[in-house]
Parts: sequence; structure tokens; C-alpha cells
Amino acid sequence: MLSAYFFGMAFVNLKNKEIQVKIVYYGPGRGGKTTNLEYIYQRFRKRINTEMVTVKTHGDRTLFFDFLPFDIGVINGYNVKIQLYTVPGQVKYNATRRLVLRGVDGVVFVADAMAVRREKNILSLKNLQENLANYKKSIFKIPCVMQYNKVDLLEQGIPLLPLDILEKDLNEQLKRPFFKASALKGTNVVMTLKKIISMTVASIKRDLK
Amino acid sequence: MVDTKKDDKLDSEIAKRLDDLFGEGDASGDDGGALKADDATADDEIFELEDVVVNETEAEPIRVDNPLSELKNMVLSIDWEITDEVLSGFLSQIGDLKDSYKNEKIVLMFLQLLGSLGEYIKTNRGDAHPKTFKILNSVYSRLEDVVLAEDMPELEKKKILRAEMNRYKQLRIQVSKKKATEVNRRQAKSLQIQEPSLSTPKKKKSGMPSAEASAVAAKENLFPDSAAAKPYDTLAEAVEELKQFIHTELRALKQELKILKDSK
Amino acid sequence: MSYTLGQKQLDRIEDILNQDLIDNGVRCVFLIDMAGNIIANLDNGEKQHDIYSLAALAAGNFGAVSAMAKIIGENEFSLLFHKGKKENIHFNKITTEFLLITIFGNDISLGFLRLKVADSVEQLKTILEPLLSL
Repeated sequence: MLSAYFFGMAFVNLKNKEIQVKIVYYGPGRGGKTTNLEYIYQRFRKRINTEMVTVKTHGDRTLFFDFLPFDIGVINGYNVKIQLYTVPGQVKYNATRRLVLRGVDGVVFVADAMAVRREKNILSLKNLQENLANYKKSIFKIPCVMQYNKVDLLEQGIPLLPLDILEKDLNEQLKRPFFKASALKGTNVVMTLKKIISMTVASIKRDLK
Repeated sequence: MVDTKKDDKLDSEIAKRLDDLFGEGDASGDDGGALKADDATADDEIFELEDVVVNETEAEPIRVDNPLSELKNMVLSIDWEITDEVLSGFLSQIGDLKDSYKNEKIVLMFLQLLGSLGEYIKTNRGDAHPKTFKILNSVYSRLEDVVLAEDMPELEKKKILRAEMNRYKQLRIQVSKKKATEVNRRQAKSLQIQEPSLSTPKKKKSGMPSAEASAVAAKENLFPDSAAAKPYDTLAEAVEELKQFIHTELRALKQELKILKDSK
Repeated sequence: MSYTLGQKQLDRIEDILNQDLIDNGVRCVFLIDMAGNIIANLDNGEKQHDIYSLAALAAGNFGAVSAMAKIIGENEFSLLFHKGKKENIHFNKITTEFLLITIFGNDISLGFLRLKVADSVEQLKTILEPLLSL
């Protein structure tokens, strides 16, 4: 009898009664994925109690991934461990992105709300769909939250995409929960996180039954 | 089947847990200063670790079944990393084994082959012919076969030895060729003629000739039937020997090729 | 950090890699920076790999392994080498900014390869180090 197995989704250790949940922050380069994790790490350091791992270039671009693990305690008898990852956003790192996506349970799509990034957002979402398909996962089924990041730039006079455009470009078919956010300032970073965790854990529990 | 009641309960439990961990909202207003005590852990099941029993077994004495085990370590180390330390250790081990096996001619020959290869690597390091290491491994493996086989007939052992010696000879030819082309290249490059000649009485410092000298010396040692090993007083003598060796080998090869051609 | 390499320097780099490595039986060698950009790429004409993915992954891999080293209290590892059934891959850092990656078959011993790589690295350093002080 197996005492631990990779469920296709989440890693369940029946012996230790532990579930590991992998959540990946995806999106175009410089969109704010790493900033999301950095904010969470800085803010909840004392509570989270674990270190954040980053593999990045000298220019502070994510090279491999950022990684932030933490426990959220016991739910329904299982100790739930969350693992947050980011992927490198630059186009040339597609092979690496695919690698990091392996075993993903939930996705936060961090879109860059700057008007000049419209095309990049769309391409990145398509890229996510392709890379998920590589693991026989559907973007339409996987727990996902959309984050429209960099709203703080509005007050600096930088042209941003209006919400309806972002929704139309990225969320028309998926119809996922979305948040306008500022990862730098922390606006809705935690809301995004809470939403994706609850969606993902609930989804896993349903599948486990 | 979806139990909606249970799902709702689950959702609220997750939500409560996350609220406990992360608070109600986000950065605006809450700068993280008001850290609540983590109540979540109060509900945690205490996972009891079963006592793990460790059976202590007596440490077994290291049995040396393979008298070549030390040499094997050296050979594996050379494969991994080539340093003076490893090479000296290797050659020293060869020396020790030569004493142990001084009455077994075939094993002795194997050891001499290995010693010669070791010297060559030590002298040439990165300039050694790449195939040297494969042959080193091969010679060692065959030696191990011969030593560990209890009932191997002498004839069989000789056969294996001969095969390895042939490979060694092939390597030597390739090494000589390589050296010859290098010499020609240098000649073409510089005005100063570095090509060794009979009239050069002085000993040169370069690593090349000494490798050639030791390689030839090793050859002499391997074939005790041929002329006894001569001490090389001058570089010129060594080089002349080598030249003659190359000529005889090439002549032999040419003859073999001719035979092959004619037989087709 | 930025650097520029002229044609002469690139040619010299290729010469070094050809002489020390390709001519000695190495299948493929590439010099990259730590972000996974390819500076020079040579092979012996036999197989063509997806070098762009290889470079990105190699840089990521090296970065990840370096992070692991720090966690266990090491400054860095002195050997990063992956052994396959037929093909093997070896990594060597050159200064803090560059990586030399060699792919070789089982006809070359690791020990020998390391000697040749060390030779190449010494020579490449003379070209690459001056770039970093700019």
C-alpha cells in the first residue's frame, strides 16, 4: 500500500497526513510575480518562519524560480503546506518555465496593467496554456486567479489598460476571480494569495474524495 | 458526488485559517505591525512520532577480498581527477604490487604496463593522448580478471595480456605520430629548430623528450627478451632509439597493410 | 552588468575552445553568461542540440546549485558534472559571470576533460576578465 504518492495534483503523504500544494505565479517579464512573493515574505516573515529562495540574474531578473514555502496548518486532518513559485518571465526562458510548472496545482496570472504590455500579457497567457497542455493540464480547469498588477502607476501618470480591456483580453473565456493590485505597495497581494489557496485546496479536496 | 455542506464547511475553515495567518486585508492600513498570535496551531493535531528502534549491528571488519582494491581506488580516482597526489599514489601502489607479485610474470607485465601508462600521464598531464585513460582502465580491468580468477589457465592469461599489450602498442604509435606532428608544427612556427638531432649534446628541459625516453624505456622493460634496458645518458641516444622504433613499427604496419591488400 | 566582445575576441575564444576541447574529442562546448546568453558555441559537427534551451537551463541549473551550496554552508562546489549513459555534461565557472559547458561522450575520461577545461579556462580568463572591469 502506497504511503505517499504524487496525485497528478498535489503531493499527498498519507503516512504523515500532509498535503503539499504548488502554486505558480506566471506572467510576462517584469510584471510583478517576484514582487508578489517578496511582499508576502517581507510582511509575514515572522508568521511564515521560512526562508525565500531566489535564483536570479545580476540584473535581478528571475533566472530559474523564486520559492516560498509555508504551512497553513491542519485542515480536515491534513497538514497543508503551501509552496509558492514564480517563473522567469522573459521569452527566452520558456524551457525553464515549463520545468517550474511541473506538478502545479494552482496559478496566479500576474498581468502587467501598463498599456505598453498589452501584447505581452496575451502572449504570456497563451504560453501558459501551451505549457500546461504539455503536462496534460487544461487552463480552463486548473484553479486560477487573475491579478492585474501595477495599478499604483496610475498616479504617476503612466497609461494603464482599463479593466474591461484586461478582462476582455485575458479573462473572457476563463472567467476567473480577478484583483487589481499593486505588488510593490501590497495592494490585494494577500487577497490574491488567499483566494488562490482556498480555490486550490478546495479543488484538491474534491479530487481526493 | 459533491457534499455541498461539507464543502462549505471546508471553505470556511480554510478562510478562517488564512485570515488567522494573513489578517483580513492587505497593506493599506495594516503594516504588519499587529501580528496576531498564531491560533491556528492550537487546533493542530499533534503528530506523534513512533519510537524508532535502531538495530545496531556490529561493524564488520573490512575484508580485503581483492588484493588490488587499493590500486582500483587509484584507477577510479584518475578517471575522476588527475592530480600529482593521485598519480604518485598510483605509481607507488604499482611498486608495492610489483614486490608482491614478483614471482608471477604475467601479473608483473600487467603492472609494468600500468606503470608505464601512469608515468606517461604524470609527465604529460593535459598533453597526454586522450585514449590513454581508456587503455589504463582496460589494462586494469583485465589485470583484475587475471588476478581474481582462481582457475584461469596460463594460456588464457597470456592471451589477455597480449591483447592489452597490443592496445598499448597502438597507443604508443599514436603518441609518436602526435609528437611528430607537433614537432613539425613547431618547426614551421619558429626559426629555432627544436627538432632533436644527433648532434645535440645538451639535455633539454622540455617534458616531451623525457616522456619519450621513459616510454621507450618502459617498452624495453616490457620485452625482456629483447635488448636489456639501456641507461640513457644523452637525450640524443633516446631520440635516436625512438626514431628507429617509429621506423620499424611503421615498416611493420606497411607490410601488414600490403598483406591485407593483396589478400583481397 | 554589461560587456561587449569584439570579433577578434570571439575568434580567439573559438580558437581556444576548438584546440583544447573540440580537437580532443569533446562533442559540444558553449560559453554562456550567467543569464543564459550564448557567447560562443562549438560542436564537432555530429549532433545539433537545442542550445538555446540548454543555455537557459544550464544557467538556471548552475544558479540553483549555487544556491544549494550556500544553504549547506559551502561557498561553491568544485565539480558540477552529470553522467549519462552515452553523453555527459560538465560545468565550469569562469570568473563570476561566465560558464563553460562541455558535452562529451564516454571516450573521454572526466579526469582528462577536467585538465583540458582547466587549460581552456586559464586562457579564456585573459580575454574575459578585462571585460568585467569596464
